[in-house]
Amino acid sequence: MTATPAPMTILMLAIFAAMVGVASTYPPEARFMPFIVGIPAIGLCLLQLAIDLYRRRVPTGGDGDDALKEAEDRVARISGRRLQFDMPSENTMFTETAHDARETMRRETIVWGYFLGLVAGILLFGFHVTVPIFLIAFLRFQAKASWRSALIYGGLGAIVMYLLFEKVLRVVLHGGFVTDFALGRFGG
Amino acid sequence: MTRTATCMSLAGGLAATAIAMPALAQNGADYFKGKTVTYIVATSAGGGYDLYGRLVAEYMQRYLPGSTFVVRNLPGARHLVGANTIFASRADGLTIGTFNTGLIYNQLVGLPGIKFDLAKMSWIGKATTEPRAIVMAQQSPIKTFADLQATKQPVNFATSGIGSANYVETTMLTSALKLPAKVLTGYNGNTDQLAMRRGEVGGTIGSRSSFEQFVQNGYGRFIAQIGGKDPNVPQLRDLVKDPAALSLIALVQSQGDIARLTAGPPGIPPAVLDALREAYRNALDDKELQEKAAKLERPVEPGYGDEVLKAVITALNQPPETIALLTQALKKK
Amino acid sequence: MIETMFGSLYAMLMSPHMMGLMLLAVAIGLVVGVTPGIGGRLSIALAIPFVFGMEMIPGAVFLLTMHAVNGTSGQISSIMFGVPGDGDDAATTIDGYPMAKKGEAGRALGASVTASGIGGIVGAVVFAIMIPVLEPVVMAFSPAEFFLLALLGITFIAFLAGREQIFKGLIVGLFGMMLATVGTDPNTGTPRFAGDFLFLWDGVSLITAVLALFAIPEMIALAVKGGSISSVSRETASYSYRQLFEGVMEVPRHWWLALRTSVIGAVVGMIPGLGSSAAAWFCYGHAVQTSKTPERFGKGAVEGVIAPETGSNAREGGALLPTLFFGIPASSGMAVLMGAFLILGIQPGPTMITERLDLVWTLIWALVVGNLIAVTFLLFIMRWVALLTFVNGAMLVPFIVVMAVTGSYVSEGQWQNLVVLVVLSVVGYGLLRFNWPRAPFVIGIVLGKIAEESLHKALELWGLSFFTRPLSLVLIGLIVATIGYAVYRNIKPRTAGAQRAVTP
Repeated sequence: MTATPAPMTILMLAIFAAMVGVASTYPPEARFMPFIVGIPAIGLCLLQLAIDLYRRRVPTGGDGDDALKEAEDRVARISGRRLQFDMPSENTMFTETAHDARETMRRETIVWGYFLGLVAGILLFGFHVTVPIFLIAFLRFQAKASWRSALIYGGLGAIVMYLLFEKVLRVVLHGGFVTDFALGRFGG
Repeated sequence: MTRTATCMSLAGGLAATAIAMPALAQNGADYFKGKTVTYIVATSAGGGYDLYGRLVAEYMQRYLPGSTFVVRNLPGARHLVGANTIFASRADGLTIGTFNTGLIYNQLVGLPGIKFDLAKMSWIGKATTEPRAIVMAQQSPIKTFADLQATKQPVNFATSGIGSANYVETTMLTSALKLPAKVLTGYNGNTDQLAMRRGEVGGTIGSRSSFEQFVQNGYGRFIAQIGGKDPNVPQLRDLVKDPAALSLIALVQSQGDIARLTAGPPGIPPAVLDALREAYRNALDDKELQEKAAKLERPVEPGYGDEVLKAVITALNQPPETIALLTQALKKK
Repeated sequence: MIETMFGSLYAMLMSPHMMGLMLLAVAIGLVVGVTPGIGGRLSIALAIPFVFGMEMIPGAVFLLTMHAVNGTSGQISSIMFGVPGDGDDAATTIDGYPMAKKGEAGRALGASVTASGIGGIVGAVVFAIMIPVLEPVVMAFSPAEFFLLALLGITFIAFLAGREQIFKGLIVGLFGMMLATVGTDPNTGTPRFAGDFLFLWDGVSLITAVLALFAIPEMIALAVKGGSISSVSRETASYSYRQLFEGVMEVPRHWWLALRTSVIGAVVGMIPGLGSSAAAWFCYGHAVQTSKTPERFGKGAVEGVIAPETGSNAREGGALLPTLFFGIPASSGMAVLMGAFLILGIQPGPTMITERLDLVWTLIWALVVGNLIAVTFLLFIMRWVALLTFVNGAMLVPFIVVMAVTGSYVSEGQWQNLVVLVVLSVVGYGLLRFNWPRAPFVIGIVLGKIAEESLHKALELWGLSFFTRPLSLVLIGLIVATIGYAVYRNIKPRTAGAQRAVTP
């Protein structure tokens, strides 16, 4: 079963509430659009939250077709329209995964760690330093490639990137705060 | 290598660099051998500033042998991001760039977002003169400046976004000249031309070169200009008597005179700055560059180093009445 | 007139110099277009130094071909990896990537590439046909109409959300529109949600937003799930060339849709000011709206790939019109192109029709032939490219993530955008993880901006009475009809088996 959608709804609600809140400090013409967009959105989030909470009380999945129908009826009565509650999952990744919820969380944390590490590394040390490290590390530890493959593919990728941006396109990539500082101090 | 050996060589290297630096700076152009100069363009690729910037960078590189010039586009907040970055960069002569001269207005009025002081920047030169002109749409009944002053119905004038140099100039001028104009905002790029053709908008005040084609195609006419050499179009300063307005017109003209500038952060060592100015002068005097610029319909009328600095400082020294006029005009919206 | 038409084609095909240049342009355009964030204006700006030495016609052909083909290669990464190259590629990703996940990458690519080709050709044809009526058409569209068109596009969100998740879809769409308000407000110049962060004054970068909502989450999910992009194993998926061919055949099968969306794309392209991503999304929305089984969209419906691709390529042909004949570029890419044309000695303006019709026809043919060359070339290499979807995902993910992060940085040039990328990726990942739709977001952010700016101008010009202009009334009618239709489809009683029997 997919995780309950409620946390997402709450997040969206929070985002809209925050943005509308900030917008109310702006002069009337400036806050017009944010209000027109944000206030209905808050309303919709609340409605969606209500639906999510109803769903929680109703077991979904294989069993509970009746319970589902019952929940649908309830909401139809309240909101005046009929909504379908079974949502064919458009994303097979999480329903067909072989991992259970705990394992998924663990893997998610690791992969997010890599991503955040990549961005932080780029900001601090620049593209040309961080990219090869990221590529090699990911290939070796996540993709379980051999050291040789990781070094070759990762190294190749980094070299291509360097040549493409520095030499061919002459596009300047972020140098990284630490790297720039160091180069400024010691190099020239 | 042993630890000690590494430390010693590192220390030795540092010492050597420290000693060598001032000596290198003496040699001006030699300083740039083997170095990369980043030329910052405060707009995204492809616009007028980018074109001029790339031309200048390419030819300056030729006159500073051994150097590599790399153009970096840094668009954002109407040239503010680029200008701020140039101002804040290290003053070693390896970062210079271009941005809209109109930022002078921003600084005069103290608009938000400014993290630079134009008077302090190291001025290298300017590439051309861009006189302003008042352009009216073809179908507008207004044929001369006098018509414009006399007309009863307010005329729509198009400008780009609020806070842009274009907006400031137009608002400033129409209010100082007491023209019956309704200033409309949001016309970025060439959409003002389209709007004029549609009849939505009666006129614009903008740089003459961007409307040259437009007028030639018969879609509009120039009713006045500020600066420039065209003998057929009256100079605005000849059409107006009010001294406050005249000083404003002078400000706009001085602006237009130092268009497509190149500058670096404050505090570039004099020898290095001179080398840059020299290279700039050679670049702009280069026949090839002038030909290319002409082909692009962007002729060059160069100005160098100190004369640009003087012009900027003069522009920034406006009498309080003018500044009041500026601030007032901007508040009206 | 006929001799000029075919005369220029003949001259082009018979000149080895021209054909050589075109091949080179196609090659460069395709390569540059693959990486997100690069391409478009940058590639033309970089080509300009070389253009100085060229003669007028070959130079113009070279630049135009390169520009036209730039957009074509973005679909490769959109479909294969879920990494859109820009705003309109995101439309292709919505259905293209799910197809890849089902092992149908070859089919998706075949369809998409062919659709591009057809779109480009039809766009050129529309261009040719519209030459006489261009002026009144372009003149008719003022900010009032832009606002209403944007509004019309926004109502598509209701369709894209689909029946089951209509609230979520609307919320996501509104989120897009909310993000569009970030930046200096057109009415007062107040920097909204940006304060001192100058990098946000111009708004959230579209590419960064799109990459954060689509590319990064998909890649993270892929790494977490393990396995390859295609959840179907290679042996089960049909043999690559056959799949490719099937994909190609999808376009003639949906010829009526392809034709309609090409025309829509070309017309949208002709109107300066609607923005470049609008075309693909209007077409996508149109496909969803006119389909008998809209539930399939978002899960791998091939029409969801054909429609935006024809639209965005046709737009290039359309955008040439005001650029060449008025000297008013229809998009920022065209603005750069125009600058380059000036170098070559081409003077855009009304004199083009009278004096240089041969050049105009040559450019039209350049679009057609260039598209054909690009399509042929791509179809040829697609077979190998599609195989990547069967490779172990974890090997691909790091490269794609690097590509996405680089693209986000390069498009704006400022490191702060990477922070925005991370923050939005969190939201994007949440949406993916909890099964919320993401397509409405792009519509929201693209059209939300246009809507507010146009509304501002329309009010400036006419006050509230702008609603009563004739074309405005037509558009209002369309909007009401669209909303009405959406509501009708949602209220209509669900036929018993229809929901479960859906096989995409």
